[in-house]
Amino acid sequence: MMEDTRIGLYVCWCGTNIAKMVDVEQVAKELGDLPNVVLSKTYKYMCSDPGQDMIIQDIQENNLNRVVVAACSPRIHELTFRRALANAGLNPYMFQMANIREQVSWVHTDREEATKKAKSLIAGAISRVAYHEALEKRTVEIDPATLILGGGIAGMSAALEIADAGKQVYLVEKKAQLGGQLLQVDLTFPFMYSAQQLRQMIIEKVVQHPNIQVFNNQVVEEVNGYIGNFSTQIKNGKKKETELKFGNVIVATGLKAFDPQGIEAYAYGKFPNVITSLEFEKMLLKGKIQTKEGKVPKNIAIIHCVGSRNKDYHEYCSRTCCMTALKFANQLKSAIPDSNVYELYADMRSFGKGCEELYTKTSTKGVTFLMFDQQDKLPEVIKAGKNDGCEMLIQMDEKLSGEEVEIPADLIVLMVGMEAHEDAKKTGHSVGISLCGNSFYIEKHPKLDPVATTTDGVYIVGNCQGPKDIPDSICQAKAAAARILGTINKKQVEIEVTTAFANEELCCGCQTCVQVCPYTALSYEEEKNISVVNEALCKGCGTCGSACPCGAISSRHFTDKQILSQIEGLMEMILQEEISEN
Amino acid sequence: MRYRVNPDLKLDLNRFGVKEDWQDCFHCGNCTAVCSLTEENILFPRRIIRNVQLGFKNKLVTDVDPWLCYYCGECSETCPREANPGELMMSFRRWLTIKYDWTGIARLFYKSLPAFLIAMIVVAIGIIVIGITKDFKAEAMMEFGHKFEKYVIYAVACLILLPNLLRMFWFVILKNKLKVPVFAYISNSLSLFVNLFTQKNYLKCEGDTFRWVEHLLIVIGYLGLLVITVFFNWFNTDSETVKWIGYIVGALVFIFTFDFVLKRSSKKRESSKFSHPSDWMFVVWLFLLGLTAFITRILVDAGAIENNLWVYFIHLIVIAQWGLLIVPFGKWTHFLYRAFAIYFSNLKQAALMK
Repeated sequence: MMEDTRIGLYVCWCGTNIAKMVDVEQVAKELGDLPNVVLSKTYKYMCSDPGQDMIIQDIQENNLNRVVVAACSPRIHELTFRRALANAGLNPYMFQMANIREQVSWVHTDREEATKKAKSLIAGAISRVAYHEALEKRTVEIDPATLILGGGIAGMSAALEIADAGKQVYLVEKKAQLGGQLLQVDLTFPFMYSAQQLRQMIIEKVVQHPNIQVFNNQVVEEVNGYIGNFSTQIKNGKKKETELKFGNVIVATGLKAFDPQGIEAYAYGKFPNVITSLEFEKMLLKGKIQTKEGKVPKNIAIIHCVGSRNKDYHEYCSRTCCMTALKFANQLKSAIPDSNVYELYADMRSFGKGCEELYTKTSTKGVTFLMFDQQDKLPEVIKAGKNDGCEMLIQMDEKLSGEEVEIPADLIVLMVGMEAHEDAKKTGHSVGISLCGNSFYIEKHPKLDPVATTTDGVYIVGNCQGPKDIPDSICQAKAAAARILGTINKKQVEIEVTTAFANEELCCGCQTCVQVCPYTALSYEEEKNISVVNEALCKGCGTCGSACPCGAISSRHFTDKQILSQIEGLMEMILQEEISEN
Repeated sequence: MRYRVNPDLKLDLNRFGVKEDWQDCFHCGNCTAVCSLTEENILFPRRIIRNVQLGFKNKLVTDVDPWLCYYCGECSETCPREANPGELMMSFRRWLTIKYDWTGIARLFYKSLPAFLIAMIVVAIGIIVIGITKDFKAEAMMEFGHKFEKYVIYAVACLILLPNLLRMFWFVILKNKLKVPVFAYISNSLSLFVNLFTQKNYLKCEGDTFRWVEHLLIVIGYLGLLVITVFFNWFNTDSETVKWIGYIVGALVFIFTFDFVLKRSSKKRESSKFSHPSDWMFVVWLFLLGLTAFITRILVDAGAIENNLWVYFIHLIVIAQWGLLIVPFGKWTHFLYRAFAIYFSNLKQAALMK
């Protein structure tokens, strides 16, 4: 241990939060006697400005080179105190926090025992901090270009936002045409704007934009690198491969429609006049609603939640089908005024601006709404008898009347839900992002950071993150664009300091770490038969370090020495207490 | 039993006075919760609205529950969608009325106001023709009027009302395949008569006591007037008692029906907000009937009937229109259907209990 280790210990009262259950004065007094502890103090609120100022002043006056604060959870104030150390001229990592609020005062009722526990936790921290090493902030340069995967409304909106700010965008679309789902839609709910007009408006801007380079019929196989410095190979034109370099990635790969063939009750594929909502949109786009026999249908039934909100298919709500179904009813009623339109729904979910109003409007247009129980029994499509006056009958248990009913139908529209692309996992892997349970991409934080991912520099927008409507997709696209423009503007970005590092001498080249790393930060270098850590990708989770059979990998700030000394300090204090008690 | 969904019924019902509003219903059930007449086995209006929305014609025609509603209007006031469930129930009763009527004339009159007005004019002309044949002589006219009333009552009761009640019985009990214990027919007959004359279930509608009292007084007045004119020959009686009872019952009829007319025009009360022509005809003609009878008797007392025969003449026209059109084919029948509905409902409960 270094001779000149000078530790300052600060025990926080947290008002009465800690002080009422932990004898903070006694703790400070007793632990102040530990070796290397130069001074020990208590204060009402260590995190307050006067509290921080006290630490800064002590560091400067007493030449402290390590600090331990016993207070709340490090998740709350570790950064606060690290900043205070930096302000005092110390490396911020020469700091350790002991959590004596969430782990002690809030969860115990015996003051004496709680005080003992606080003491041992703090002793561990004091013991550990002596082995802390100065770590330096690391930054990487940001390439100002952005790669966007998917040329739907979300991808195009993000592209325009970034390109308008003067930055280069590479927009890669799997299909021959830009537009994504919009290509298949006639009018959009709830205000009945033409989807094709919307699409044309935005495509024109995208195609003509000098800062956007569009690659149609292209799929990105693999993206290498890390935030600020990604690259990929892409075919430009027919054969020539070019390398694209970019600093950020937006994934906007969208989703696809559920295939109703698996739901036997709906007889899709068995009766020609049972069609999906997308097929019906096609009819609307053509401007002709008719049965396969070319007749104008008199009775049209629209079945909601096909493949959605059902434990046998997808449990989630596809979020747009109810409104689309209401839109269909309106379009049907204006195209064929004397038709009977039936909406067979499980629950009407017409949330969002203008959507409940659309429901109210539709309900006054003579549309018949029938409720079924999604979990109990699905409506069943059967062939009608000769005297029924229609081609098909739908038999269902109608929930609101409690009766078994039958509905005559000449045309049945299945409101198919939405699901992730089959290759979502592959695409995700190529950019280093993972999927949630429903095969949609998982966000960094479902509430606080919904467009970022756990991989820095990779963002998810639109339907690939979960089903959503046009405005929601565009909001996400523009949010991600703002985030990216922010990092581009900074020109460089700070990256994780507490990363893993491998000791080449000890590494046996078994590649265990390469397999366990969730961030693809480890790779195998064949020449030397060793594993190498890409520190820009590493999040410092420590998985590789604990898996390494040779002890070749450790994590900065979580070295074996640091962790073991913390345990030692903690155990020593417990022993000491026991001895003094006996 | 599987019912066929039939949205056409909605359109049909729209011709019985109900506004489009009721289609806004999204089945929250507030109307049923607030209704003081709803019981475990009698759930309305929501259940009935649902059946109407889906157009279960065969089921609806066997439903007796709508008659148990007295239209206090609380459901319409509570409805968050302003779907006017009370008015739907009212219109639905009109629909049931034409379903019970075997002649099909009620259907014609309810659906077409011109047809009804033409019938009214034809009846009036008929009376005028009879007046001409009688040379507009007071004595002859009154003698004719007296006989006419009697025969019309018997004829309407036997040819129209009784068959219609039997049809109602067929729909409500037999079509529902209810096995009613014989004893129940007898044990419930007393309450049938109590309800027929008092409509006491009306009192269960909260805060509507005055409306019930008014309604009761009109029933007493109307039935009193009927008995006193038909069976005691009120216009020509010498008995002081009969004379004064006649005055009282006659006054009851036109005073309280006048109040009903006022309420319908002011549209303040939920139940009077919407009026079908059949509602207007019923209250106005009942008012005219009471008023003209009252004045006729005054003129008889004053010995001035010879010179003012036109008053009695109008009374006769009103009576004829009332007896030949409004009673058999108009709103009058609700008087019978309501009471019998309670009776049938009790029979139904007895059958279900068994």
